[in-house]
Amino acid sequence: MIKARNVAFEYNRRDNNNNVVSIERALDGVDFDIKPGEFISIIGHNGSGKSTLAKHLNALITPTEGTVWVDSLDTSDELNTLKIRQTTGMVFQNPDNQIIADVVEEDVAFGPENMGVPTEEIWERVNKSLMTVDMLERRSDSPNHLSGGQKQRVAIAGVLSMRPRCIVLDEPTAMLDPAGRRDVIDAVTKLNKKEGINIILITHYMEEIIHSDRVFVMNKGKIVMEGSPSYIFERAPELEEYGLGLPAVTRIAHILRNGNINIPADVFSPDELVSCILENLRQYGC
Amino acid sequence: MLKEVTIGKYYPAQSVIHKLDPRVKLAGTILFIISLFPYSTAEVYLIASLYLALMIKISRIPVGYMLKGLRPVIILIIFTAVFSLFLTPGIDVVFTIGSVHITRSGLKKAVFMVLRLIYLIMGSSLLTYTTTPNQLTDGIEKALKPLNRIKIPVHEFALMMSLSMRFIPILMEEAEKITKAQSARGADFEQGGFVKKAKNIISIIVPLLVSATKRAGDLALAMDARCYHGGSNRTKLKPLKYSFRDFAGYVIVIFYFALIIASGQVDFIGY
Repeated sequence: MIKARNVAFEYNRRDNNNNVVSIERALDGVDFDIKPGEFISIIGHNGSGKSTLAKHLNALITPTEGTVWVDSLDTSDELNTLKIRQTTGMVFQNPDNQIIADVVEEDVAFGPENMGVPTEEIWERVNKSLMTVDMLERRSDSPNHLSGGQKQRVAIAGVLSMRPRCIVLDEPTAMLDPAGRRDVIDAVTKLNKKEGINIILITHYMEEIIHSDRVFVMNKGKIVMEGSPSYIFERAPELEEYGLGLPAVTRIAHILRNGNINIPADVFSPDELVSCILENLRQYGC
Repeated sequence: MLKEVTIGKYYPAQSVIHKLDPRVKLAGTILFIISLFPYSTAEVYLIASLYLALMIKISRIPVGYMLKGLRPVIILIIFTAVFSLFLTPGIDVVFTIGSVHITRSGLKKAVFMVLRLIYLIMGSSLLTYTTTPNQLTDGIEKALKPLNRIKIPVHEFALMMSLSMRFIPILMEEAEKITKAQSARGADFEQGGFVKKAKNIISIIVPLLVSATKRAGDLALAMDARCYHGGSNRTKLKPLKYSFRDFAGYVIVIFYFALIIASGQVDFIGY
């Protein structure tokens, strides 16, 4: 679905007089293959290059070196740009800055309108997309009256209406409260499991990667670790080197496991952890 | 502060006028405004009054709400009335207060100027009360489409208009946040003379501008990501299409304008 080979991206850092001071390498030799239907998480601390990588997947920026193929289309070729943007949609961090219209349903229609989809089909797509993210009853509201999580779901619907096969989400929960974050992650997980849409979730919240099939850990423009969430969570010392900490639940499970208490490796949610601990207590006869 | 101003705000209601194509309403409003200027006779203003009253009635907008829209301009109306009343020279003096003469033509001028102002505001508010900002920009875009041929980017202007309307409340909220943040750090926006107050505003405007620029960059990126490539080959969720109702609307508007022109030629009552 998406293939990257030896991708590097450089930009010039300039001083006030517009002279180049230094050349920054935001991405440095990135390789990966993403198969159709996969749920990928990309984590890394600030400045690790994860957002730059995200913009490469939608041809918003093109690599300085190397190549990215989306559906075997080269992103560096401008003729492919529109096709690529229909294949991979993109959701950004700030919900206010990506909603274009004054009415929810008109915003969801913006993508298909640009693609030249006939009017009746736009209506069909808008209805279906809003239904998928559970926002149908707010269709004629102004986005200004919605909460952060709801706005972000509208933004996801706006991408869905373009019928993409892959959605890239660039820190979609960074500006939301915990409830909004949960809503957005649930909506994204549902899209992946039910509709089979490729999800590439960029985040710096460790809790959010637990639903993914594979996790890429980024540091200084490179993918430094790759594997399933449980594989990543087992390598806490290494993660700390890259400025990433384990989520609370995983950390507690680790400590308990080191104290010879039986906690399975795939326990990620607080509820699961609690029932595991209760189970252990029962075995000890408490 | 800005929330109390009703002028130019959409008033949702179920009426024929609300459902009319925005282009018909635009044409109707422009013709109504033009019709107020060439003649100052009682007949013309009688017809205009009846026409406006009828339109307000059909639009189902409460009269009180219409009148509330006049509140911000009431001082302007009073000024206009006073100036025309006292400063119109003439020999047909009706009565005299001290050295000020009030003339018959001054009286007439004051009445017509006040009516003209009120009707201008009511007529154009009727347009904005019954049309959402989106419909309005859509209507303007479609009506001005022929200008595309002389390379005026009509679609882009319409998009800019609707985008700025979308961001007005967001930027207002942000300005409030900045003001509060600076007050919390000891900035004083209340005291001091005019110059000091004006200088204080700079500390709000600068961060607001920086953030607006950043928002604009983000928005451009988001529009790019959603395949925006200008107005060519674009379809619409709610395309503007004329129905029978709209042609009837045009006929009524043109009939009204013809009636005004015709009655302007004769002056029965003899003012």
